[in-house]
Amino acid sequence: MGIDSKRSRWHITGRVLLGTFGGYLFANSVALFLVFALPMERLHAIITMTFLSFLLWTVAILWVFSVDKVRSVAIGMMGSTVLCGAGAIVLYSLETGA
Amino acid sequence: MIGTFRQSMTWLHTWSGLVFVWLLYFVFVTGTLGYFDTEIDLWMTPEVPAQARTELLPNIAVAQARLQEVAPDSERWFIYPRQDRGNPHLSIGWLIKDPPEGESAFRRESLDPISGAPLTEARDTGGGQLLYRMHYLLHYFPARIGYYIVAVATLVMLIGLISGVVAHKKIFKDFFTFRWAKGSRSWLDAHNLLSVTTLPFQIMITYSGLLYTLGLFWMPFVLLGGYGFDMERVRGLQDIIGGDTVEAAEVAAPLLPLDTLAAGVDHEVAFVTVNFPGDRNSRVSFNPPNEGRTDVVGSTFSGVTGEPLVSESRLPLHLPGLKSGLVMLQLHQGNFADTFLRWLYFIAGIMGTAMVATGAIYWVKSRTPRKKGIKVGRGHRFVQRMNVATIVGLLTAIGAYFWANRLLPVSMENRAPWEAHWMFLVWGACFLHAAVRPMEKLWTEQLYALAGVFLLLPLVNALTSTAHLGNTLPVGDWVLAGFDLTALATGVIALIVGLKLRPQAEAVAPIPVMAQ
Repeated sequence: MGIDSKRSRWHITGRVLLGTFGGYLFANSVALFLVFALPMERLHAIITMTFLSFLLWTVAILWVFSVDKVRSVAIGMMGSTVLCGAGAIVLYSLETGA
Repeated sequence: MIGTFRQSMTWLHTWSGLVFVWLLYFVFVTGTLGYFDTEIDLWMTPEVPAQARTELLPNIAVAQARLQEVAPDSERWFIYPRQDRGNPHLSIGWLIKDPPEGESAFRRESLDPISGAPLTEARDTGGGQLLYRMHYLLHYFPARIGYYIVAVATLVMLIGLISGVVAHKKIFKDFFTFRWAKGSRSWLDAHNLLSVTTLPFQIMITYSGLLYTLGLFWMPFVLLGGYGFDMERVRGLQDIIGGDTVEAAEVAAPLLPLDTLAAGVDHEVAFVTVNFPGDRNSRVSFNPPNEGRTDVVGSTFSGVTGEPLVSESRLPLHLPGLKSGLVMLQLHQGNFADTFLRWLYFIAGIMGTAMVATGAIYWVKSRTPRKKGIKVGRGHRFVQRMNVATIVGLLTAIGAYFWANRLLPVSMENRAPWEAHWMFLVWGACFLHAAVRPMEKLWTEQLYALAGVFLLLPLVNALTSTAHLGNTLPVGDWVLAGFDLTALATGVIALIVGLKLRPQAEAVAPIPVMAQ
């Protein structure tokens, strides 16, 4: 499995970090976007999405470890984090009329 | 990451599992014992006599009289009037003002329901509650740190479950596959069989465990962001979710007899709280059992006039999201379970424990060279020895905790902490033993020690208390007898496995026999 080589050790460290922290941001961002996007009472959407955000985090970690190239996951994950974050901001400003 | 999707999931399953396996084993063992926390409490306080169930209303009256006597100035009283599994004795609690540094403000006392006098002072013990608390707080760690460590382990457990399912080729076939005594293949079969048959339980317990450990506060951005990071609105939630916000009036007014108030309540009452007893603003809440359902809210009254007030709990229970979350949490705790279901929980917990253990053993077995004489690496030897000291050693240590409960002097200072110290001292000894003894003797020796500790436990119990099998069996006290019998069963199983694994005298030429 090549875990003995130094290069792949860094590879694994990179994936662990990306899954833990990148996955955390990803989960929060997607969940927040859905809080605004779902047609639910706000408090209800928050509670539901908080409960589901753990699954999003888990899925993100599985994603990081399932793909050949770390870079492509990193780009995909960061991209969707930023997109969802931006989407949340847009929906929020539309709502408050700012 | 490596090859196909399934291969990379297998990799993730293997290595994330390996890093957390011993911690997860600890959580599974102590958590499983938590399903019998009160039963263990009873065994560990043998001087407290069992209590027959008495009527609710007189119980409440007796409790009120005692609280008036012992805590007239307290801000908050608690009464647990039902004698049931989770609360075997009529008991009361109250908050004291300015508790000593590092101590909880909560005081609790069990009462005799007839005389109202406090029950015989029980020995100072951590009881089953301590074992139960260890499964999410660990021990010797500041509570918050222990909690965080367990939270991370729980996340890894969920990852392990999902990646484990993916790693599988034929999940259905695993129901029916077990190849006995085929080396590492058997361990894999055992691991699969345990995981697949109990998968719904394992997923439920892990996901709900995440709800507990991560809760709302590890994902604060969802909550804060949902309100546009407007802290005023977030604080406003306290009014919705939070408890009572009424302050004391600082004007004395007598508290109504609580049993009269309780007589007008049309639902089951599991515990009673009184805020500011003896004050004009005192409030009395009768709370339903908080297990099994989410749709019954308690009743609240003014403690002075007896007029009904808006119920204290304003959790938005009409929201399906919150409701399903609460149901998950209740499923995790299993407080609603009767004896049969409780044993089922216990068995599912043991199977989860065994799933974790067989995974760890399979890791070693699948990496052990077939031929004798080939040296294995340092990492391999480390895992091998850690496995023994954790899988067997932890159980021995818990046995030592029970021994300490019986053998430490009842009047000893810091008695309860020392019970736990003995548990971890013995566990430490198991690690030492695993570090120095020859590998082929490790399993057997530790299993013999485990068998000894649990087979002798009922004897130690008989020599030090009256709650032994000779007394408990004839009267059919299945809680206390069940403890001793479970200890004996644990010891017998450990002995059988130990005998099975004892090193064979291989030098006695097995090859000629084969050749015949």
